[in-house]
Amino acid sequence: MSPPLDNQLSDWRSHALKLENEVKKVIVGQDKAIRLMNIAIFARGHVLLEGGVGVGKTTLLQSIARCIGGAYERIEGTVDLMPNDLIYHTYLGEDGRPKIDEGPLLRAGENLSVFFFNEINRARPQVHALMLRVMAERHLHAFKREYRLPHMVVFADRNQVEKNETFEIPSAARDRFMMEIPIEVPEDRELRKALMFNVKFQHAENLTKQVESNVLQFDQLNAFSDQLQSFIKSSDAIEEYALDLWDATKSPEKFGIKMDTVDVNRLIHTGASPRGMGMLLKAARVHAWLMNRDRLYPEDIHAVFHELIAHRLVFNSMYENRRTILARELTSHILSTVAVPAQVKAA
Amino acid sequence: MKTQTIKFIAFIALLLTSYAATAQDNEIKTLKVVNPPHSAGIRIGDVLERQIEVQVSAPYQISRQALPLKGSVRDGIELSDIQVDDLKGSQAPGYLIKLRYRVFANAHVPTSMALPAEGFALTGGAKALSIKLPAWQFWFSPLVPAEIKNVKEQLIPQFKPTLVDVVPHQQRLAVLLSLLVIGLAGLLYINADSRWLPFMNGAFARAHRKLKKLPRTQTSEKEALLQLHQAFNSVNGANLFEGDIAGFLSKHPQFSKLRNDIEQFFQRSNQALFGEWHHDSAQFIGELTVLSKRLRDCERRVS
Repeated sequence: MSPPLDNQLSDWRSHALKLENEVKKVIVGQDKAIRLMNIAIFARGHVLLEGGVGVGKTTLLQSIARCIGGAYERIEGTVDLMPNDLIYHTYLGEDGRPKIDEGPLLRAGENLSVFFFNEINRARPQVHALMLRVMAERHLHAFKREYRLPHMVVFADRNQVEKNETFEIPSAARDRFMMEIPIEVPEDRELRKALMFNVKFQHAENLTKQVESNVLQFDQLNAFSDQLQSFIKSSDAIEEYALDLWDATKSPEKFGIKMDTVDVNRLIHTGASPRGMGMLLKAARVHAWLMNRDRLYPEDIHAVFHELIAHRLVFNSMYENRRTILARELTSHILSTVAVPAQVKAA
Repeated sequence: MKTQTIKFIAFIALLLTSYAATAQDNEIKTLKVVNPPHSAGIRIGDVLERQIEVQVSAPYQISRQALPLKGSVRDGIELSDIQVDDLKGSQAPGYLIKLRYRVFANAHVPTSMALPAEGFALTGGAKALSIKLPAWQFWFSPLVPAEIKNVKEQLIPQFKPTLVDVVPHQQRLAVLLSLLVIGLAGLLYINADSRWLPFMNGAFARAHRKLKKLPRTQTSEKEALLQLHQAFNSVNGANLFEGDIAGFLSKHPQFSKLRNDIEQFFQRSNQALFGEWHHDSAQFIGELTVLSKRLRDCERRVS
């Protein structure tokens, strides 16, 4: 007999907060990113990481994977990477005969909990297509059998600095990722000094080992996530507010949103998708749960709005090359302009 | 016979006189005589000027040694100055004679007087000719009435000048200036987004006015919250949420003394709008009205 729901919620919350604290022991200045990744884990969403080189993305991921438990796999995106490379690899055995082994995607089977795709935009669109299908369906047919990956969460990193030999992820593919989380160098001077001079940050592998393993039970996350989503309720006012936010991503001009360097009337090609808005509410519910509430507040939506919506917006081509800056600027304007409660509905 | 002889001699004399006069007219040509402009109201001490322009035939010329004597007084009229100038621009000799007289005569009643007739002798010719300037009559006016004994009794009060009635003009000016001032104030008020006057139209003042009028029922609760949220958003310049209160208070320190009340308002608003909060709506709206009044006072910086 399973424990009462209240106890489960409380226990899982303490585990979730412990995961954050464990990761914060080795990753400094990334509290917001850690909280967002925690939310993505409990909302069962895949994450796109955005950030420069050497900011600690891999260490962060390895630490989180260690806390989640289960298997962790990683692949590097390269221009010659083919879909097959995710599924199997061939080699000559000791007996000189060719052999085939399962690739990183299948190697751990159902125990795979975190799959890290480094520099995903260096891989070809064929690889993207396979990866995105697996992300959506969480199973794969290979070697004449069905491989199920029910607990897999994909963290992908895209190189935004270099443009040569890269393949931009199309908007439909970006939409499969629940969040795009920026990993930035900490602004705090003392933290940056520590990152430079504290020798403990020089050995990422040793650093990761300091994190307690198996804080969460990865194979129970799916079931708990469903319970959590059902538990958090939303009022009419918050639903109206979320709808207004959605409309504002499609037609910001209707809400009187103005941006200094952009004609807002011509900025948006496509706003957030229904899947994106569904994921937004899913992540917001996790935030409400982490804040020990059973009701959604606007603050819960705000906590994840930028990371859920910005990468889903499709701008007209003239603005697309400035999308990172403009998307964040637009989402900020939306939150500061769309009022809650916007109006009083007739009872 | 004797009578006829006398008549004949008289006729001849008259004829000769007439000839002599005609002969003088031929030698002297009077071009212009200018007399004083007024011939009445002349008083003691007044200066009168007259002048004559004449042309004489050569070889005659005016005798400057025989001019009327400057300073001579005749019947109370003094010739105070005489000036003879040659006329310019004429072929024959000509003269401009300017005479200046001062009246020293006195009379108690209006009296007819005259600037004396003058003669200016000509020399250089065979005949004894002279330029004749006839006398010029004028009326002398006494300064005081005749037989005056007590000057004070005779004084005639001076008439006050009629004053223009400026009261209607002043009233019109006052009205127009008032309109101008009101108009300028109105323009400033509108230009300042209707918030120029510190005691009018502040966001919380508007919210408080609306909250006071709301019925204390459950259906009005959301409207009351909406009004206060709109006031906060308006003052903040963007949506204000619970997590932004610290930044809001640092930007608007006049509300700092209500920090706890503001935080409590946002917590209760979240509970009322997004959660399940069982409470007395009438009491809650009353508390919101009190809070809006306190916020309005902070906005006006009077508390």
